[in-house]
Amino acid sequence: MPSLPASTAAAIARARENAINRGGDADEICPVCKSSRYLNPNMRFLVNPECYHKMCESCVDRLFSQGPSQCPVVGCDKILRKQRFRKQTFEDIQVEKEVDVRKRIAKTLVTPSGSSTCCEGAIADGCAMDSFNKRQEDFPSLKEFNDYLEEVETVTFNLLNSVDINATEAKITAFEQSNKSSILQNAAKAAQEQQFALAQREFEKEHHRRTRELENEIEAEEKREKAEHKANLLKALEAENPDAEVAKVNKLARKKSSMRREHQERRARELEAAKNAPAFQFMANLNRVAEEPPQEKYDPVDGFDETTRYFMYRDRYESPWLDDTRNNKTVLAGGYLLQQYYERAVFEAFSGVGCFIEDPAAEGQDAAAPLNSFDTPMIDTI
Amino acid sequence: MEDQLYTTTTQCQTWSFGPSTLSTLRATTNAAGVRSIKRGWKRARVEASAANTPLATTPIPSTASNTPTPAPDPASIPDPETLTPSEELTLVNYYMLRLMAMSDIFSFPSSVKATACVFLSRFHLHHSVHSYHPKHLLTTILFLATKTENNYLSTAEFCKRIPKLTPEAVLKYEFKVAGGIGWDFEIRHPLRGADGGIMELLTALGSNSADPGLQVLKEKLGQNQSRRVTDAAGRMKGYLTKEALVSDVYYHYTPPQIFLGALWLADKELAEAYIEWRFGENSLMGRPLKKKKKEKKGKEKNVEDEAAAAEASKPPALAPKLIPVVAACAEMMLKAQEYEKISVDVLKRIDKKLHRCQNPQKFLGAGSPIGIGNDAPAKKAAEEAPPPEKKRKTEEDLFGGALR
Repeated sequence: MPSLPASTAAAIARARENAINRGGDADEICPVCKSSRYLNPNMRFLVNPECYHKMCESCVDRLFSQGPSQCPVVGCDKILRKQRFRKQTFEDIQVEKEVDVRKRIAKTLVTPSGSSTCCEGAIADGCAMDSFNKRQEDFPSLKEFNDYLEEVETVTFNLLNSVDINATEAKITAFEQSNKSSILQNAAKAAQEQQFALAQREFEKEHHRRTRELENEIEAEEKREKAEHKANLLKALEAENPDAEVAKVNKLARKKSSMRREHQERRARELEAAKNAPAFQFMANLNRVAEEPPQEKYDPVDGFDETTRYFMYRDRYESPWLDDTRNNKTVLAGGYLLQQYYERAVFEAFSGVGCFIEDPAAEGQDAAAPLNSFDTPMIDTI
Repeated sequence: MEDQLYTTTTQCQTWSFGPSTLSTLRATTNAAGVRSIKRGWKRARVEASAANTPLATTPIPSTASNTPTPAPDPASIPDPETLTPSEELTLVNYYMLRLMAMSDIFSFPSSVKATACVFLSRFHLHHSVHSYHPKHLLTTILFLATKTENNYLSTAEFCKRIPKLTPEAVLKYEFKVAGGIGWDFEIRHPLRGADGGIMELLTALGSNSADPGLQVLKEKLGQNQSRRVTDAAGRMKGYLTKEALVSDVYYHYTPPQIFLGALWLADKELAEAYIEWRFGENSLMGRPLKKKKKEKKGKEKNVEDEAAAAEASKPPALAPKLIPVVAACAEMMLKAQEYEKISVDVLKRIDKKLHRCQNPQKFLGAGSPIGIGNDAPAKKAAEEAPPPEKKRKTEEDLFGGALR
């Protein structure tokens, strides 16, 4: 049938056209040699971080095997090398580019564990030595830290969008020069932390394993004991005095199981102690600045107690003006306690009776000028 | 413990003064107020002389004379006579009485009334009437007091009862007043304490305890004791809700002393006997008489010893010191009654003086009113407002200020 191949060829041509025109299905067609994935299912695309123009593997082989050469894309005069070609990680080339830039900036500007954006977090694992890696602790206040982060973002943006490339590059170099020592320090710190985290994870894993082992052991032992008990019972029933024998067997089993439980508990305790003891000591000491002074015993009532000097509470007081309230169900239903009113009133009757205020000498001069502490100033008309 | 708790209150810590300290404070405040008036007039005079160029001979809109008299030379008008501290106090006390009357319109409980009065008094302790005329603050203070004393009322409801009052007017100075009293809203009134004291006295009189002090008290009161106490309590309450507030006793005495002072005024004999009973030499301080000695001999010897030890280390009796204090307090309250008798003429004269002080524009033809409530110039507010706004913006901006 002649019509089928013709229509297939037309379809391919159309697909190719569409892909090239729209750029949306560019995934399917190499922009350099125009060969399509339809015909070559194993086609892989590579990019070079120099200009991020995409081309297929065979094109790269063809063009750059002989050494560095110009990018085949029209209008791009970058010289590319074969070894720097790599597989594209992200579909969007813009994202790919940004990740690269951020990776570079992270080496210079950003703290690896600061994790202000997800991109940094993603690439932080890879970089062993980063240099623009200030932390919040390095700045006197949050505002300064934020300013620093914003500057980092500005540099990133400039690199991404080719704004002031030269000035930005100069800035980065200058920063690197001036902060060499602190960059190294921060990198070392980050590495150390990573190491600690790793050790901690290891330790936890080990602990889990041992706990599980213990549990398994306990289970097995229980099972074995049960079986043994059963066998003993059967044997006891066969004996001539079954009742006494059975009682004996039961007693033995109880004793055994209690012993076993004790043993297990001790082991579990040991395990728990091990968890809190050795490997974690260095973690505990890691960020401690200085020995804290022993805390004073906290007194929630600030030294006050319920002793009264001038009076003693009674259960009931003679108060003619409260007689209505005492029997008023609407008031009492709401939870009004006359007793509390009594206590409050009687307390207030004597609270401060022994304080004598008018001692001008004792008051001193400072009492005369508390004006400064007031929020509403005297109006000053000028 | 009771005294210790009172000493932690702001009323004791920041609002208690000896008499001389209080008068110094008032003099200082008055001096500050006078200074601000002087400055305001000086500025007004400068403005007036600038405006009095031959071109601008705009006469002052005077209601007295219709003939366009040429504006008097601003330099020839002397500075107004300012108020003395005692005149200020008189004015504040007068407005305190007005405040009480206003509270009675709403029939607020006495605690609201008392709190409002104390607020007014405390506010003017640090803020001269030269700058803050009390008449503009009355409703604000009363409304603040209702909130402080858990007597809620919406502003709309509040304004309904007083003609020509708007919620804006009530709330306009609320922040100023609250700041002016140092945010110390809780006032320790003697009112509830007085209830407690009377309650205890009545209960003691009703019981047949063998307390010798109580026997003495009963003897002194004669027949119909509880009747006498109740009558005295009624009169005492009257003193507490009026004289105690208008006078300075809240600054000089503690609530129990004020309540005893009021009781003193109501029934001197009763108060004296009461103090002797409660705080005298052999007072039991309201505890039941110990009868252990005969009933439980050997059993609780330890307890007895402890009690004896406590007896020995007991502080000296309070009564000798307390009685003169209470008497002085009572006298001070009695003096306050004179404020009610101050004639309207005197008050009018003071207010006129204050009016002249605060409104230089009416006498000089230029300048702006001094103090709040006189429609302080909007210009000044406009000048002042932007900078803090700008500052706040940079501080609170989500992304911080501009990069340095």
